[in-house]
Amino acid sequence: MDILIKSNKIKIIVDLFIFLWILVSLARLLSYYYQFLSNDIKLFALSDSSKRQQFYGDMYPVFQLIGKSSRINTLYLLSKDGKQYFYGRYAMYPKKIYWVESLKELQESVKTNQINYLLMYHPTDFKNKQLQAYLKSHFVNYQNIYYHNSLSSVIYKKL
Amino acid sequence: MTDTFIVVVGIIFLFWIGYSVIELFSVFPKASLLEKLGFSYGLGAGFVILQLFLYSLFHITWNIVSVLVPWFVLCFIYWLRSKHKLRKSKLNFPRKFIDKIFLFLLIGNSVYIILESLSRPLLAWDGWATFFLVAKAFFYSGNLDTSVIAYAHTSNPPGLNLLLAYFYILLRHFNDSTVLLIWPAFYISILILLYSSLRQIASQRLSLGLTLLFSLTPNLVRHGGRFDTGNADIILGYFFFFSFLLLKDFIIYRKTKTLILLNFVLGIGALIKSEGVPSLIIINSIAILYIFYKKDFSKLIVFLIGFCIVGIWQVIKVMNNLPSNPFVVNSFMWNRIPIIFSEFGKEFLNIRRWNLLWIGFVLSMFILRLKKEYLFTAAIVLLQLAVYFGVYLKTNLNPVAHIESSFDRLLLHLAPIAFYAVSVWAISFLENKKK
Repeated sequence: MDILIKSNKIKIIVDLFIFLWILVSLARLLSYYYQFLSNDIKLFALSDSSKRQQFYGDMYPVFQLIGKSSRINTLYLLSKDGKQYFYGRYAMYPKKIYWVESLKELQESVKTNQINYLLMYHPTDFKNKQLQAYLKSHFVNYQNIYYHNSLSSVIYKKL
Repeated sequence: MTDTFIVVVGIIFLFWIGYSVIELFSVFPKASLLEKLGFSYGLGAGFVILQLFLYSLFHITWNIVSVLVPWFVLCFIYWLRSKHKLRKSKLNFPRKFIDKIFLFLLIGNSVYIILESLSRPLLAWDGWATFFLVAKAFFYSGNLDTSVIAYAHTSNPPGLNLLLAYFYILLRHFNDSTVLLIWPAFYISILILLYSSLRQIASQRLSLGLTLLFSLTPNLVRHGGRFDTGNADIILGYFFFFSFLLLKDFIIYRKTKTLILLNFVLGIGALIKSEGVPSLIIINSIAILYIFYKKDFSKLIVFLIGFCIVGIWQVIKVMNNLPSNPFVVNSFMWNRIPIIFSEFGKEFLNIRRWNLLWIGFVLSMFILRLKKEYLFTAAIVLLQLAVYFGVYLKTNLNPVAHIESSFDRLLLHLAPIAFYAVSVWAISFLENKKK
């Protein structure tokens, strides 16, 4: 069955719709090519590690360092954002990483697990006095990691 | 550069595996060369996924020899039997100027997507969180290591992880940048399938023009080669579209081979992402209804293929206590219906992600052109959308936040089929105008 509603208004609407779609698509096409030629093409001149630094920011050197360490096989991650957890878990594998979001979670994990290292990503996000006191009593500063001359992360070792 | 070359050869080899199977078993005798190429990549990928899956079940070592030799033998057999056929097959290149422009732009888009995929490292969160993490673990352990699935706490099935592991086996090391080329290959295969399916009902110019329109859909471009490369959604979109075309073919020609392939493709889709399971049920239900309508009951046993592939993975999940999908645990929260409709509407109107695709789909449902093919295609899209609607009714997350973070990817699964529906509508509308 092929029912056609013979209405000029509908034909105009459909024609206009197809025309708009073509217009939007052509604009997209031009924007893609412009973006590629003006920005994205420069990425080919970068090395793999430079690209990763550009897109991953300070996550890349932090987890590279931990990945190369022969002493750290598992660690806790104190981070406000899941991005560091998912990236770190992936980049460091087969080394394992466990995300703790709060002091209470950290305290419970320390009781039950044999994990000796903790990574605090962006220490300025963790100025809570109770947390600082807990870290002082249970951990010792193992290594500071700097990125562009500012403190990016701190690795703590369990006492 | 060496890694890029090996991955490209690996991709071509997947095309070759799929093409050899299609030709050896005469699965699509009436299909054009281009259509067969469109099917080949997904078939090759599906066979390799199944191969590594079965190797894990039967404790067969994963290495270059064990992975490649069976396919070399198959491809060699095909080459021996069909040397003369290859010379006869040809592609019909456009002759008119405007058609050549369309083709040139399509090729230009494809090259753009390939270059974009090579320009950035993996940025997709799901790639970090699930697919590439588990693939890395599979490669390191040399089998389907379920402990990493538990560690990653993912409910996603292992299909894409196995496909990535195949490439790591070819490379002999882990390289998460070059393997991103897999995604443009799926992007191009979707375009090839779309063009060749439209070509059956429209002129070359219209088919090329419509395919070009679809190729510029921002979310498709984003997942094919830009920031969302590494997610499984465009791959699932390919397998959905592939299975839809096979279903159409089965309804027209009623061949058992097509039904076998349909169930294989649906099974692979269900191994790529959990959303493949409802698609398997929907498409197989339509096929089963058709079989009952035609009283062709001998074909019913074929449906075991798709259900077995899914079933084996479900058994493995239960035996290893792996996480199940957390979004379907709760009961339906019916009071969310208005919110979900509203959020769906917002996404359909999102021109930045879809151009006018979903607006066109909704428009096509209200401006009546009741061709059977349009109704059939639109029904499949709506049924799968209904499943996603149901998931959001049950999700344990805030529904607005959940829809905002995921619905655009779910729509990508359906985008090729929805575009096909809009194309059928547009083609019949334009044809009627000429009359």
